[in-house]
Amino acid sequence: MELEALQKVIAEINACGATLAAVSPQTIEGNLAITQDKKLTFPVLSDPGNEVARQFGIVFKFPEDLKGLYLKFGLDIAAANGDDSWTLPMPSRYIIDQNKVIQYAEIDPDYTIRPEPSHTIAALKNIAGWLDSCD
Amino acid sequence: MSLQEALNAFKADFETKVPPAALAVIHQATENLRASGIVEDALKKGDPAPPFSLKDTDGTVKSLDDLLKDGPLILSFYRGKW
Repeated sequence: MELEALQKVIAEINACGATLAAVSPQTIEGNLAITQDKKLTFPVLSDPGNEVARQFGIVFKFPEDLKGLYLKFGLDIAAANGDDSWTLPMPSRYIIDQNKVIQYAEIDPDYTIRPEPSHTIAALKNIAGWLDSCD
Repeated sequence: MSLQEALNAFKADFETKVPPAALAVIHQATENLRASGIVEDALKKGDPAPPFSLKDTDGTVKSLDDLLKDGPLILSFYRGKW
C-alpha cells in the first residue's frame, strides 16, 4: 500500500529533481515480486539483516510473544528476509540532501502509521533552495 | 483517499478478524516500542546520513553517492509485506 502510494507521486518527486528509493530487509526475490506486482519504477533495495536501517537507528527486535503470533499466522519474517534476527525497521522516511545531510525524517513505531507521501512532497518543496526547481 | 485513510480502513477490518488476545499482543508490542525512546534516538534532521551500498532487484549495487547524483534523495524504509 505504501509503495503504491509513493509510485503515484513519483512524477512530483522527479519534478523537484529528487530521487526516490525504498529500502527493505526482504530478500531481492521478495522485493522483485512487489516491484513487478505493483509496477514500481523506483528502486527497492534489499538491506540484509537490516544493517543500513540499524545505522539510522530505526531497527527493533520482535518480542517473543509477537514472534509466536506471526508464526502462528504463517508470517515467517525470517524466511522472507533470509535472516533469523526477527528484526524489522520502523516505518521511516528520510530526505537526504546532496551534502549527505538529513533534511527531513518521519518515523513511527506503529506499523499501521506510514508517512503520508503528501507530507514528504511538501517537505521537499519547503526545503530552502529546492522550491524553485519543483516548477 | 490518503495513504493513512486507506491504512486505517485496512486496520479496522483486520482488527475485527483477529482474536482479542492476539490484538493485545500486537498493541502491547507497539506501545513498548513507543515507550522505549527508540524514535527519539533515531537519526533526524541535521544528522549526517550514513554511507551505504545495497542491491536493487536486478542485483545492481546502488550507493548513497549513486542515489544522490541527480539531486536530493527520498529514502523510505519499508518493513515488507507484513
